[in-house]
Amino acid sequence: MSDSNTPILEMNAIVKDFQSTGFAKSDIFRALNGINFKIYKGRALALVGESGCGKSTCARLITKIETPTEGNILFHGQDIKEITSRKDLLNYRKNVQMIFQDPFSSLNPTHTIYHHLSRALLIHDRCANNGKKLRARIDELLTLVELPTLTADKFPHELSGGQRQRVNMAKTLAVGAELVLADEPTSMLDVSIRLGVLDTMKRMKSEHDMAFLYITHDLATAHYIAEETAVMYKGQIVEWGDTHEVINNPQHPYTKLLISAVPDPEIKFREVIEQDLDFSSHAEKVRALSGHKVNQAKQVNHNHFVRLLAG
Amino acid sequence: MKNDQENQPILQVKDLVVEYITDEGAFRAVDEVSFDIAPGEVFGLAGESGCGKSTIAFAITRLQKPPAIIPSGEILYKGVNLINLSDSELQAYRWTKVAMVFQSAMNSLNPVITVEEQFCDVILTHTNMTRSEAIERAKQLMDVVKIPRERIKDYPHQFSGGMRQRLVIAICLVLNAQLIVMDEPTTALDVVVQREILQQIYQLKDEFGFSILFITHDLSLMAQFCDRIGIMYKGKLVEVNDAQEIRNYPRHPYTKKLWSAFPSIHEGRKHYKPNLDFVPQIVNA
Repeated sequence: MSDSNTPILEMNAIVKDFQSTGFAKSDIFRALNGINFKIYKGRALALVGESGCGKSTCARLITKIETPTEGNILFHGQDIKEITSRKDLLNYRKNVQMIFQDPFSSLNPTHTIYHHLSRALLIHDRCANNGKKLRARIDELLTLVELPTLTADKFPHELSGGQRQRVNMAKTLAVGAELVLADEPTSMLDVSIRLGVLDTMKRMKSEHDMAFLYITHDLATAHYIAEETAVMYKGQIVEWGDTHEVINNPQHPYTKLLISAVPDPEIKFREVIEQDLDFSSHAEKVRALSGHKVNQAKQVNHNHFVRLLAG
Repeated sequence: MKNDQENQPILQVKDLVVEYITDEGAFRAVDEVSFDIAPGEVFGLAGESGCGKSTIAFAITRLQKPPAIIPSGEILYKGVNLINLSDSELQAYRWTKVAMVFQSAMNSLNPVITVEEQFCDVILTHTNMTRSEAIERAKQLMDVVKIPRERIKDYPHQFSGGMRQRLVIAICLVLNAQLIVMDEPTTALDVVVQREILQQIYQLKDEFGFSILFITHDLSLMAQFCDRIGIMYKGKLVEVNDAQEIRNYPRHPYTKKLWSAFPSIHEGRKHYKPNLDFVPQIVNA
């Protein structure tokens, strides 16, 4: 993933094992098997894959909720393992913010939106502890995410899912985050408001130079928001590069399978079936083929890579 | 005359009204909705959360409970008005005539009994089959949805989400229901599994000839999967038409808005030109 700037965040050969200690046996599950990617200022990288492929584990490692088994994660060139003091951690968490899938459980139901945003501003020293100044700053933040300023005095239950997700976005703006990890931020929202939320994210990217790691299983929204896309399968990135290239000229059988399964309203289901009468066994073959660890990739275009298949 | 009967809709919904009684009076969730479903047809209902589409599904299966009430309207299954049926008559109608697949099938299987017991529960309640006949029938249906027969002794948590959804579909088919109501059957699954399941449903539909009422908010999927589509907005059916017409010539402004809410990945693909100047090479990664 070439770019003249230096990356904000870099994942280098990340391996993550989870150990389940059952009765009389312990299983090791390798959730990530050599992950590399870079995230740049003002750009979005989409991490796309099915449930359980490891995409959310990447976000958990970046937030330091989990630590990698092997490899390192660099934030502006510094290994995040070395960020341990209270002050440094606070600063790191200010710069790397997360937006979760469920907007209904990520806000405290007993506090107003004003409280949520003022807390973020005060903890990270982004505003003087002065009622008037706080109010003015919060009005400004709400306007940035296209919410009426009246929202400040409301409680989370008075807002819709899309409005709550906008409050979460305002929080990341409040602390001046450089990188936002958005884990399926629109999958619980109604289709008719999804695009509006994505448009606000696009503006945060272009007007505030924020970087996004956009985690999703939905290629269509990835295509809408992200300059670059990485397709994950079983803990490996199987294909990555410019979103446009990956979607329009897919090379890996798993990417091809994923794209062929996205419904195209122009083609009736009967024709779809006739093209691939036994989709299930086809999918099974592709899954079996794609699960092996391979260290070599083919560069298909300036910024488009595809992992080779085993054997 | 015979021909006439064959063309009769399997389900007719006429001026259906469903209201929820609240402290502030009645909230009309479904407002004078009418539509028909023909034998073997896939009819879709699309709309955003709260538009009343799931309330219709619950009304058709007569599973709605107070505070939901049906103050007026008719639901005719082969000419019989379901609204007037008694509880015992309804029992004979559910599963054997109309079956339902809910949004999160993983939660509609009983977690503490085996798959075999879930099948037997449905079959023995509704037919005179013996237990061993019921198990044999259950195994046939496991073949149909391509889950190995020997797994009939397993519990729901031992199956993946996609397999659980297929088991629910198998249970729906076990008594040859003529109409299957599917409320967001694949929303919780990823696209590849979604496609596997829908393809199986479609092939089964061709084989057994049942009708489907298909509910989703994914308009692209709906245009592909359904023969006819109804668009719901605030409890009203604002547009009903052939799936291709809804796709190519949406008439109601809300239908147009719903279409524009979907980023499409397929349009660009049709005009893509690969870069032929670049020479591919192998790199370590």
